[in-house]
Amino acid sequence: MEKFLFIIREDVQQLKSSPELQQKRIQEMTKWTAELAESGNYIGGNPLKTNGSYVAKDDVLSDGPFIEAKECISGFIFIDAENMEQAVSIAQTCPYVMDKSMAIEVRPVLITENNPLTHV
Amino acid sequence: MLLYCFRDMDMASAEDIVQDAFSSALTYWKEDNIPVNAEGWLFKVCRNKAINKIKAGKKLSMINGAEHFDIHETVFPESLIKDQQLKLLFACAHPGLAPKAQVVITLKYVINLKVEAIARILAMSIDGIDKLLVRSRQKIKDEKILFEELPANTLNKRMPVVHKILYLVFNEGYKSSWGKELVREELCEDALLMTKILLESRLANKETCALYALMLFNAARLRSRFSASGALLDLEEQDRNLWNENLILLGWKYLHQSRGDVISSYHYEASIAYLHCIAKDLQSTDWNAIKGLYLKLLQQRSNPFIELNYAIALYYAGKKEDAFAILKMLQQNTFMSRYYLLNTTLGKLYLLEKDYTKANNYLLIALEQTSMQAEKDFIRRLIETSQKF
Repeated sequence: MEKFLFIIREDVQQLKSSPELQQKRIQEMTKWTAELAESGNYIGGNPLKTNGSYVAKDDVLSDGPFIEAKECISGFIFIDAENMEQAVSIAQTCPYVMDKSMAIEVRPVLITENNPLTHV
Repeated sequence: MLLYCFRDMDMASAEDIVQDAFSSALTYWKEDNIPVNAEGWLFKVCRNKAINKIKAGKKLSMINGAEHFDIHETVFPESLIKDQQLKLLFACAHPGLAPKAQVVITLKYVINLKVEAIARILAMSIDGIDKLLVRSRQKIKDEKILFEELPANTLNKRMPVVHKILYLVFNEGYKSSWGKELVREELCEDALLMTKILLESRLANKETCALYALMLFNAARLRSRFSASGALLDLEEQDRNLWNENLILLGWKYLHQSRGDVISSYHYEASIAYLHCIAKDLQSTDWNAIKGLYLKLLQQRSNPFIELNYAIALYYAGKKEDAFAILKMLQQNTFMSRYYLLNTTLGKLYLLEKDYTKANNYLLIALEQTSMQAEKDFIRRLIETSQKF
């Protein structure tokens, strides 16, 4: 088993404008995480608030460019999977990836051998 | 099965042929005219149709019709069918597929359910199921995993995935969400049957025994989970006389057999189910042991959903403060706070603590978090109780 981080991206502007929609989507994602827990893949995760700050290299603070972007990070999930292929396949089962309203970036977590921090 | 015998055929044509054969069967088999070896008959028809189809294709390309196919009667022994089912099951256990996709293709190709039925059972749209099937089918086709004879070490490597698939298929049947529907029980039976076939094969290991025991203990309680009027009942309300003693005894036999060096999550879950099965009532249940088993599960694989069960066991084991501390912590997580079972649990436990206002609050939240009728009715009954005081 390897660990993966799912970086969830969706249209945050749209979510901001409709708290009900945001509630409904979190509800559906909860159902999905319950399924992932049943199959032993879910470790943890949380949605993110729709505001944020961007600290740039030149010390300029802004809330962009990401908050305004169509695909802004709206949450994260940690999972266990056999391999990258399975992690991708798991991300594809997300109901909002299926209806094309969400994108998930799948990143393997780099865990050095003998590192006591094996759980995230 | 056809795909296995005729390796040049694609899955879609094979499905067409099988459908064709079934409609022939419906025409030829009058009520009392069903052949003794029905599977063999069906296979023969399928095979003949497949040969005709391949012949037709070859004629077109070669014009030379001299090719001769030797078609003779074959008896199709049951053991071969079991073998083929197992082979298909191991093919579905491709490690690159998501567990959900594995369950969907198993339901389709091993258990032979229609897409509509699968969609209903998994509470998914037909479109969603089709998407998963297309992706999985592509993987199967690319890697030809249905045709490959998997070497012994690959089969052994796939055992955990096969166990997981059977476990998930059983759970889909066992889940309360769809009320009293016949399909659910059939699905549990299918999972039990496939696990039995696996147990009888040389591939079975101690985990297979533990998984089988777990399924048997849960199957024993299946009938008592709903009242005569179809209402969902919790453990406290279930009529324990309805629990099937034979299944419990059989489960115990397999749990006993499952002892070995490796203790899997199935061992822990089966032991928990066993402790529930042998308890006379909720109060005399060995909650201390159950609490310990959940802790072991958490140490093996931690997730907030198992923590919720651990907290419930802690509560009944008398560690109420620890239980509420965990539940409070789980509430901090957005996904968990939207999970109807967390709020239902908080409602029920506050009800037991006679804190009716808090109980009522949590139950009202939970009511909004599930769309399943049987679950809503269950929560409504708890709310009525909380408002009596």
